[in-house]
Amino acid sequence: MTKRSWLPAVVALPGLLVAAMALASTAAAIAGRSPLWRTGELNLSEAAAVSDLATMVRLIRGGADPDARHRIRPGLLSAHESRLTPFEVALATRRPEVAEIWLRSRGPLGASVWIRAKCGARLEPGGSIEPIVDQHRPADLDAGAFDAQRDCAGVVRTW
Amino acid sequence: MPVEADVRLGQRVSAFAELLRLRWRWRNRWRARTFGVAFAFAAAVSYGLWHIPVQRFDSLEQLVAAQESPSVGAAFAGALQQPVYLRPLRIAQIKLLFDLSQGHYQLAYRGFHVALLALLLLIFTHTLRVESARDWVAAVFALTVLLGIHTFPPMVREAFPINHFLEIAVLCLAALALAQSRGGMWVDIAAAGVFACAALTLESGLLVWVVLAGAWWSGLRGVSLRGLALCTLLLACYAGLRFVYLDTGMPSLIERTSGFLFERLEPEELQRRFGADPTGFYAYNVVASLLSVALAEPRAGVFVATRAWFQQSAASPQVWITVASSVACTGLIGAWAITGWRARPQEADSRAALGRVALLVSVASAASSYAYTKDDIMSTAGVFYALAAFGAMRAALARVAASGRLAAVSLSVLLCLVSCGWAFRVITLDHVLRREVYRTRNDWALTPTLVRNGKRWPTDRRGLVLVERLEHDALTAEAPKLLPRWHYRWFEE
Repeated sequence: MTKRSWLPAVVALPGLLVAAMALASTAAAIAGRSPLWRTGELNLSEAAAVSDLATMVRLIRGGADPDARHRIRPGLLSAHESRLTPFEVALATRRPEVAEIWLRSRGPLGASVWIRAKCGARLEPGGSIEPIVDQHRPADLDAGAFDAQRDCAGVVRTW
Repeated sequence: MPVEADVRLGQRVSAFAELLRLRWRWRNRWRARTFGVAFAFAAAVSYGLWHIPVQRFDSLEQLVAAQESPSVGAAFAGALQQPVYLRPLRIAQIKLLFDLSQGHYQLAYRGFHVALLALLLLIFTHTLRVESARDWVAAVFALTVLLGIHTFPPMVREAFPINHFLEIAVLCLAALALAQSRGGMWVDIAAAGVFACAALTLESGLLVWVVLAGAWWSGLRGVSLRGLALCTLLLACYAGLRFVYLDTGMPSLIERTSGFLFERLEPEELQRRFGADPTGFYAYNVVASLLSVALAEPRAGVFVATRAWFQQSAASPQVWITVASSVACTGLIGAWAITGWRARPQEADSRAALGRVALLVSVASAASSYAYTKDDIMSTAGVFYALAAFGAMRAALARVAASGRLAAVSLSVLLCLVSCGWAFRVITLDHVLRREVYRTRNDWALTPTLVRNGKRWPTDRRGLVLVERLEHDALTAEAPKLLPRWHYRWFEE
């Protein structure tokens, strides 16, 4: 490489660039300023919005209120800021696994909570959430105890 | 007197250190730079890898078995009784790490995984034998091929709970490094040890013998004919143990799903189509596996890019970049093979030996995936493909240096474009790792649902404590930042 010795170096440039980026990002991560790894915490509804089920479980076990409407930052669910419960997020995003985590985290469901969830699930056009809600039907709720026309009257979409 | 002796000793030590420094500086400057680049890649991939919790699927069963096994020896002996596979060292390793972990499972298993990855990059860089600036440029390219090839993610994405495909790749590279060495009795013994470990870990471990034999045939005589004979004897013992003494069978059609042309077929469908005479299907798998490494198409037996092309359906840009960069790189290797491998093996450049060994490993890997084709099985072939890419790029750079001005510039631009394609594929690896962290954490979050559904789960107290610990590690693992939508469009296959 005596003549035009810079030419072959061009071939190494893309690899070197990626290696430099890799090293810089690792160093930043070790220093707690990672561009790729999360440094801030999500709240329960935000975790639901991005299907981060592990964070949902951890927050609920840590005492977060699963019925509260948490602020969801723009870009996570929609372009605008919103306030929804994790279950409403599950309905809005049509993600049964999020609904499953929300339902399971509450322990045995009371009749009123289950009926509220059932009514909400009926409003989800995809119909993917309702079977999950049905799986968590309280054992002591009679077969005829739920009447959609009566119990879901006035329930509207909030998402 | 003691003072004078100390001074003399100090001077000698200082002179020796200076000698070492000079040797390193002048003889290994480019090699040191290559190791620097390898270190940068190793650090970044290790960081992502470290964050993947111990997987639940396929790992938990192994961990529970390790917990129940009384000792490493018992685990080894128990694995000899398996009906289909002969992998006793695999089970023994899982048990050994389990015992050593003292409850720190993430540290033990993922730490071992990171160590294997570092070893892979270290030995890979060592086997390139970088000596000049041209070698260095080719080595940087080879490192991007190693990390960017589609057979690499299976070596970091999954672990059950040890990634044995990565382990086999490391052992094959170690065998190559031994073949490149100056040789001696201990090198022969080490080669036999490496072969025995690999063969008893996974069937793919038999590739170590292919590496040793191919290296010897190509003129790399670090492992002598005596050493190769010893390994061949061990290979014969393995065959005798597996097929005669233990009467362990071979994988059949109904083992798992497999790709065929444009679709994936379930075992029942495979049985229906090829049950009467599977020869054609086996031949397809061998050819598909070989093409997969060389052209990145088909993938796991399915012609993904071709299907997208004919159906004019939307495929990720990554699919096209992957195929294009693989075709270009294989073209380079082909050109190098035609022009550079003409010399008799004994007289050839040691880099040509890398190409020959790579070809043999690819053919042997493809043959071993006759029953079903998967990127995982071809992962060692992918590593050796990167070694061949090193030789091919080095030869292409030599041609640049020997060409006229216009031809040199044109060729450099072309090579740079190929290099850009592979660099893009390395970036994809970051996407793969972060997605895996996300997926594994979520798998653990859903575990109680599986308990309710009565799937594989420990029932005794010790087993439940083990699960709770693994679940805790997974749920508290650091999560990656959210991936923007364009990220999926560009990096998702």
